[in-house]
Amino acid sequence: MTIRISGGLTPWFGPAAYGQQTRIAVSSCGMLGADVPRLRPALHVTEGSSVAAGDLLITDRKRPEIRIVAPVGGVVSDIVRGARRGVDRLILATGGDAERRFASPDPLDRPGLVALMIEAGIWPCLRTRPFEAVPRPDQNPDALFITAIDTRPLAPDPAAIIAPRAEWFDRGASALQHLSAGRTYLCHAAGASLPTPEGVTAAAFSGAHPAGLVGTHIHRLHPVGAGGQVWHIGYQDVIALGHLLAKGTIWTRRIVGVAGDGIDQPMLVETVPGADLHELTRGRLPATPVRLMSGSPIDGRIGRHLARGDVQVSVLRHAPAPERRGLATRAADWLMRGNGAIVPHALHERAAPPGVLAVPFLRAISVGDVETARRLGALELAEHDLALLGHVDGRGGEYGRMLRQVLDQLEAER
Amino acid sequence: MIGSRLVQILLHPLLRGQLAVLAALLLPFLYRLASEGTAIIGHCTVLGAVALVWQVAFARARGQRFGLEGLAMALLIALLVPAATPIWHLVLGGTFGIVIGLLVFGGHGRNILHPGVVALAFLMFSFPTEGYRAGIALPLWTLAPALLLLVGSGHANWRILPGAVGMVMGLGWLWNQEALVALPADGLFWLVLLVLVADPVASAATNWGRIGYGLLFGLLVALFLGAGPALGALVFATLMAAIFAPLIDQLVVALNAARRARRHG
Repeated sequence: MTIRISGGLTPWFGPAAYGQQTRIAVSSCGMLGADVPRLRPALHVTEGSSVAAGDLLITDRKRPEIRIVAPVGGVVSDIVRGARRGVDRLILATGGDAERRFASPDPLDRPGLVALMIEAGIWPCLRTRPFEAVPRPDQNPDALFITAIDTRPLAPDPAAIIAPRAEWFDRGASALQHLSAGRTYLCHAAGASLPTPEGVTAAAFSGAHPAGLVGTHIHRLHPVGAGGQVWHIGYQDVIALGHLLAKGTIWTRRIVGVAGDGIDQPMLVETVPGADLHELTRGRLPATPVRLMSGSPIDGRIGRHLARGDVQVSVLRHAPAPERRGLATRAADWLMRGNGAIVPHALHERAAPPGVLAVPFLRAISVGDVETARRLGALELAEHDLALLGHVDGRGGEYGRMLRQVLDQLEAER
Repeated sequence: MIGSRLVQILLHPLLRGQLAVLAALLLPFLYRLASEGTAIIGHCTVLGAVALVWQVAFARARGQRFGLEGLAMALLIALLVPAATPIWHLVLGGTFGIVIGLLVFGGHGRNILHPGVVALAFLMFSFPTEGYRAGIALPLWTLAPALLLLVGSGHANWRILPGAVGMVMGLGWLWNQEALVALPADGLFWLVLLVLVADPVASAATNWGRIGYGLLFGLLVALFLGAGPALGALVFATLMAAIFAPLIDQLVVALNAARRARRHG
């Protein structure tokens, strides 16, 4: 089954041809508080604690299913507190091969799998639609989506990353079927050959971004709205689950693409989750200033560490503000500033998530009209789905934040 | 699929603003300058100054920013009024257009009508004997750059155009009216269609709505052309179509919401 997504567009941010995979060891990695939405953290380590890969670092005070574990062995070197008793980041100095072992449930059933995923810190990789929240273990999704396609600008090819780890991917995808009473979909790019376990429904998608977004897949295969809920998970987290089931230890690696117009040759890097981006790119950056982002150029987050779930790092050229602005620059700035209103453009419809009326929807969320936004499909969407629209309007993540406010209100009204 | 580098050019903030409109109006402006003399420069200066004064006043009062939309309006009105227009007409009309058509709604992007349409309609209503409804002679070729620039940059949505042209010509053929069939060969028709009717803010904002909006404009032009001169018919058809544009959008929104409710439960 191949589903063609019409429209879409892929903005240019640099060359996209990835070379050979290299492995870069980093000496520090960071767990970010923002990795888990609405985390209310309780710390289980202090600065200086030695941890093995898989040891518990942080839990949520209200949701016991959220456990953040050490992605790799090492020593906790720094804990930076955030606003409202939060944790901004927890830095781990990597070192040592100590690994915590997890017993795989035998035979594999839902309670056993859920308990293992929670214990090994994989549970927060699952997200729900609507609301894009971490699911509760007692909920039952109507369907489960495994996303093994990535159409964001400069994203590495998931099939090439899965191929050498096909055994783990297959095992992880097979096990995930226990979570849902309904179907488990494996969404991949048209033409890619992926291991598809028995019982998993493969669906091929073709087209430009947003053809690879899970919101698009859910819209086409199993639409959710006021009723129903589906869960989804990324392909590298499926590999991690397969590794956990096969070897009894957590997968201490992530494969990320480092690309952008600030770097000559995009590279596929094997590194640790939460890797320090400065170390990943050291010695490979041009002399000109660049911005390092975890995530794609359109929906990435500027920061020092690789965020959870991100499979790419964007290195974008960054023009610093000149000390003396010429007349032409000032005139151009004056002309480009706008007054903040949404002016419709032919590209809005191309960049919009499928089935969503771009301009009425953006107008609804920009004035906080929750009811209209819901009628126009806010429940199908998450921040990523509006990233391209934000890019088209030069507003970055602004639309995503507006949508989040609408979703928070809708969730509170339930 | 659009080439990815072309996308980056189309997305440039300079192209997203009114520069494309100003560039599109340049050739008709030069044509009128060559054919009718320098009066148009004076008109344009007066209207531009009026627009600027009001924009600065509102920007200061509301702490908002503004762009080149006032200048675009000035250029457009100067293009469409006769060379013998008294200055005080322009000051009144320009003021009415920029304030009532644009600024009271909160500036460009929040208006419901194009300020140029509001100003022209004001002049036509207030001074019916001054010849504002007659319009000007503009050859078709002067609008070729406008078509390329405005449609190519995504400023004017192409979906509006076939409905408008098809409706005008179709009704002209059906009613056997030579004037209607010949209208799309007139530069004036395309100037109004590309800049005023297909203005991204005043026109319908959904793809299906744009098709309906174009058809509605064509229908209104065909109805009004029988009752008066060309520019008057075009401007009032634009005004009425733009007033109905939000209603057309609401229909599309209701259909979309109904479809979603059925599909998603």
